Amino acid sequence: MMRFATLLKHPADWMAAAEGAPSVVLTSRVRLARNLAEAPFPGWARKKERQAVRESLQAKLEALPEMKDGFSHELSDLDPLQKQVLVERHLISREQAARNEGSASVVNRKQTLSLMVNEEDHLRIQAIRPALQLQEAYDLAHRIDQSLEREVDFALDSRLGYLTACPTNLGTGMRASAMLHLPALVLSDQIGPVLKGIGKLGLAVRGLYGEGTESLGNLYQISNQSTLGESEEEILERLSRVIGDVARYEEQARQKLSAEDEVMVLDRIGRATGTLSYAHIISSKEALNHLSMLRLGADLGILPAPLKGICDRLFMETQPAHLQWAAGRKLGTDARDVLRASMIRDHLHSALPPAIDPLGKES
Amino acid sequence: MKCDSCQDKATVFYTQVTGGELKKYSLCEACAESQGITSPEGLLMPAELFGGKPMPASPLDLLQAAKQASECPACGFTLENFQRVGRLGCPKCYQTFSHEISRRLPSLHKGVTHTGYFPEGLVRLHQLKSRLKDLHAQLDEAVGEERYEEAATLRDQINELEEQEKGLATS
Repeated sequence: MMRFATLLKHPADWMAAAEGAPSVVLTSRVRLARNLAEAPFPGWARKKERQAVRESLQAKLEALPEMKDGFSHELSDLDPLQKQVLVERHLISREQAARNEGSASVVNRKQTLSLMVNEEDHLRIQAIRPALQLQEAYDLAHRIDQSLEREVDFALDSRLGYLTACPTNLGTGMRASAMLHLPALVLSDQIGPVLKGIGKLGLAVRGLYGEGTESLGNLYQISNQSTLGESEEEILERLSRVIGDVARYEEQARQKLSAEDEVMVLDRIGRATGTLSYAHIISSKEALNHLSMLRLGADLGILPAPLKGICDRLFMETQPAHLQWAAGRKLGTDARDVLRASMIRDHLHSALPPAIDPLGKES
Repeated sequence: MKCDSCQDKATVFYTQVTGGELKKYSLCEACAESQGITSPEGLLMPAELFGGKPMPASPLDLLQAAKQASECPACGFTLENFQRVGRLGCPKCYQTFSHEISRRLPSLHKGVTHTGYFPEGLVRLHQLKSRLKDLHAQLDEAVGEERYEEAATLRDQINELEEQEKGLATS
């Protein structure tokens, strides 16, 4: 069995997209909600019933060849910090982190598959792939679903499809989403209309970090809302098409900005580089926003290409729980801000040329 | 007056109004009871009783549905719980609260019927079940009309399909 520390030592294979690959879309995720036909949903089940479901499911999940040598723990065995780390890695949901006995997390070695037992539903199968690969993520999750359905009697209705604790997930039980980095649409004030357009197509969009409509790091998540009345293929196809369109708008906005507002773009990227290279105290919010500019710089060829992968890792590793895990102890906000700044400086130091003018431009 | 179902003396009279059309049924005590009409949970008139035609929902049906849907018999979850938290207690709640759920679905989803993935074995099981239902109806008809040769063939087909059904259900 994989220990928590081992899981954390290795970054997931989807965390950093391959260099040179199109990079507006960071990751694609698909999750399937499934329930046992004969048991009450986790939110209504008694503790004993929840435990029984957890025991029977967890054993079956661990036995899947895909989950060999993976991570498998009951949530009550993890401390609050460990749970928070898993949330920041998107391996468990916020809702599941609040649960204890009777809830379990089973993750494969590569961290591409995360199976949640007794979250809102008895089972949630989640697959994560880098870049825009929704179909590939679905195939991964679907394979697990098919292996399990031979042994488990899933709650299924001929008219309503898969039955879920909340009717919003009914039918396919599938929620597919992609995480997008949209700095140029934000800088050129086009993000509002784009988000509105996505909403009109019946898809949900929200900032990945930050509360409400605020988005930190210009990172957005687009997902399907409807799960009933369309097949998985139809949902994935429509979602992929819209995400592809948004990625193209972002590319166009980048070209336009570079052509028409080059100095402004250089200034933003330069200031972000300066701050992250030399700051000693930095909040999560400030870090995310500057890292976003660095990533844009790497994509535009203004900064060295390897910075992109470093930014993608730092997006996650400078989150509060990851920082505390790295420090090996609980840290208050002030101490985290200091550690965050130092971690970012270390990473940038190795990737940026030690020039006074890191942009390589003569003024 | 004779019972619509068995020709005994009718003592229970049931009136149904459907789309402005008035229909009267007369049943004997035994038939009425076996159909649950005299029990408080009753009024679940099976379609077979009235010539195999499905009965449209009557105000009585709706009243009954509303009454039934106050608590799930499988898990004890109540309609009020659902209205408060928006989630259900167990998979059977989808039957128990089907009226309330059907009402909400159009605003939640693109459609109201699942068109996505369905496990292969289950698809075949559903097809088999529907085919078996047809065959049973044909068999009844053949027997009723004393076409015994045809009935025997139908009986064989049914036996074969029922074997397959058993195989699927246990696999």
